[in-house]
Amino acid sequence: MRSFGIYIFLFMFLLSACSENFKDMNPQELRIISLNKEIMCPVCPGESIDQSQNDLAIQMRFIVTKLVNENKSDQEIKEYFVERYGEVGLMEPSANGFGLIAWIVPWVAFISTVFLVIILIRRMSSTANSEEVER
Amino acid sequence: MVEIGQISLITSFIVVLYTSIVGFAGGGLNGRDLAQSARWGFYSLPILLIVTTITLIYSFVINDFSVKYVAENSNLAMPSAYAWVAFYSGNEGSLLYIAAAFSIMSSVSVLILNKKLPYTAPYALGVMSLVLLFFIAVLLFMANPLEKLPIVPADGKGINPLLIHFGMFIHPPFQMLGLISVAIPFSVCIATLISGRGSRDEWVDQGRLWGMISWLLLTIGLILGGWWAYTILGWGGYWAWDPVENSALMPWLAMTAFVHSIMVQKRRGLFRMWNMILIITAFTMAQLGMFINRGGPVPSVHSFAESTMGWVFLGVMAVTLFLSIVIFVFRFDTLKSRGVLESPISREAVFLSQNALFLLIAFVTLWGTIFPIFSETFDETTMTIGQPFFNKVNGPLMLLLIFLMGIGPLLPWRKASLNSLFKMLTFPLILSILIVSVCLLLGLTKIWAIFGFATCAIALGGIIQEWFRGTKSRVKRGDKIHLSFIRLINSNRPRYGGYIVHISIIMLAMGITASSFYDVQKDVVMAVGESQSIGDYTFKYLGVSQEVFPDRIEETAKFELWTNGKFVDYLYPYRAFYPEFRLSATRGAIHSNLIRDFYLVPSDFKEDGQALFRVLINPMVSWMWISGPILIFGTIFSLTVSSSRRRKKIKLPIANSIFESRSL
Repeated sequence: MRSFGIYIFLFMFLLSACSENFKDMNPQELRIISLNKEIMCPVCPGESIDQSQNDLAIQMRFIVTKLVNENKSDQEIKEYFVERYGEVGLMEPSANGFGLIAWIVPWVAFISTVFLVIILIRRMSSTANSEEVER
Repeated sequence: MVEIGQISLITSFIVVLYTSIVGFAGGGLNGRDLAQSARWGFYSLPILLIVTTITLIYSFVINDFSVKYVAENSNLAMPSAYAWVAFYSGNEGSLLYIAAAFSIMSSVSVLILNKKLPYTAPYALGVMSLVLLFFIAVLLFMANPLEKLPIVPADGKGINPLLIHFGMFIHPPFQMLGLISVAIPFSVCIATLISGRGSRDEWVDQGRLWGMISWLLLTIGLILGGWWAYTILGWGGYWAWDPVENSALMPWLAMTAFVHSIMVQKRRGLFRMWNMILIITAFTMAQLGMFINRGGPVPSVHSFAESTMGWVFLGVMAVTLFLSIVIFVFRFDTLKSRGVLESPISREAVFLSQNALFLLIAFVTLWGTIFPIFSETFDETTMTIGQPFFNKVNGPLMLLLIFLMGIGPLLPWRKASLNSLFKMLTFPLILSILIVSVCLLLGLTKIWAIFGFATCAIALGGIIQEWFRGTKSRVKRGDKIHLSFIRLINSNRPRYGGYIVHISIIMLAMGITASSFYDVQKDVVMAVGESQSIGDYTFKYLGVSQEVFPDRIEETAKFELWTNGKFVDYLYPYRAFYPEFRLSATRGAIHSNLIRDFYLVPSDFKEDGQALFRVLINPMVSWMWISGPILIFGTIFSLTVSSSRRRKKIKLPIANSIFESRSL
């Protein structure tokens, strides 16, 4: 039981550390960071402007901050960059048009996996039961 | 010197051509002499390939720029210790590394297989020879690392500066060896199929052994890769869902599924077909990984070994997959399950769902990785699928996986009642409810993070409960507490070693959850002498010093770090500019403890003395790096046989086998 207590204590300690961190971020900053994470750095393939330390990425981060301060919505800011760099400039496909397929397929795969597993387990265990009856 | 390497490479080609034919012949004709001849030929391959490797490394050490590969991947300024890194930093060298490392590992496996599975071993040798044949042929005819330049340059181009890091001595070797080592359990499986001995389950122990070794190598490669990215790439993260990272993750996922479901075959004789499918999938994905890494169609930050030969790899992957399927279909009838699944509430059933989930995650990852190609071909728009997509899609699936990891070990083989399941889940559930309430009390509100911690608590609670019960029952018999715990763990190493691995995975999951939901990030502009604070951290910018090296210019900033008014440490983040590569690399300074990391990266030093820094506070990242050694220990522990068990086996073979069949 004592190890259990220690464990809980440790956990609380850690979580308090997390929560302390969390309170330092104001919502505006969080929004800027999450936007930065969704916009790709055009000269460093695969990296978001949040990740990249490239000069262009740094400039783009300033633009995002500026646009947020101008009270533009997330959608407007993303469109601003899509206009300049194309759809490729976003880190995730948009949920309309062709990009929607990217989002639907994982769902379809998930649902069919669940069904497949259920059917498989049922079938495998029903043969077991019928064999028992035969015995 | 180089000529010696060239000769031994050519010799190895002839030898491997011979062993791949004679290996199969030895298996098919049941010819002992043929099989033995193939074996001796196979054992000579590591020697030949090591000679080639040594000549290449030696050329790096003596700066022999007449060798094209050396001239392209090193220069006079490179410290000679980095000859090892430079050796595999490019396409040709990394192929040679893969061939040499695989020849060593597969020779060891042939040595063991020959004793344990005498009838299938020649075929396995044949399959492994074919794999090696491919690599050696590519080395000889398409990407020869020992090729000479007509005109010897005065100095080389130099090594990619991002690779100058301690982690580079170990991450790429482990990752590449991990990917290719999947070929060994694959060979065992294909050999079993060809020899038609699938119904005997005799390959299971060897399949598990080599599957786990390869799984371990892949895991080490992945964790080291994350560690390298975290400490050197200077963006404060460790995993970016980059195509190459994904392609290393996919075979890992399939292998993880395999090392679990092979236990079901071992214990219950189920999943015979399934295990074969899993290992074929894993090897296909490993090949896909190598393809994407070598000039694949998707842009990536890992394009170190980029070349135009990606398509050769893709072709070979397609052929391998096709042949595997043909062999599988022909031997389909040998793979009927021995046992039956008795109940949906059993460990077997959880393993099955877990397997499916692993493959689902692998599929979704694959989907996200190749979707840009689809969108380009069918929609003519280039799209990027990056981190946010994978986090949203794979995050919840992985959480589900951890949940299954929590309940799987609690369930017995064969069948359990719902009642007993709930009984087993009481303690883990109480624990997780406690955790959730603690989270809420502390003001944590992110629902997914709380979910994550709660799931980790269930999984951990299950293991604690198992350990507690086992120890208690031994204490009742009169043993001391610490002794009985050690004896308990020793009594069934595959199982308790597995728990140790599970604990390390929980630590990894906690680190990932905490650091991805509760990281703090700020970009700050600072003048010399200025100090700022974030949370209880205060940091003071003391100044910047510039140092010019032959290959780079380094600007190192000096910081004082304080917490709660107490001095902690000096931090030296730096930014290096490599004029020859026109590339600047930043190295963050990290002050790390068990709770959180203080991470400081210089983004830009301005003319007027001001500088731009990024400050990150990443909670619990160190847990991820600590989990690595625990995972290695757990895996190796679960592969070893305890000495007490070995003794028992000699004395009481029958009693022991009964004990064994009941215990796991």
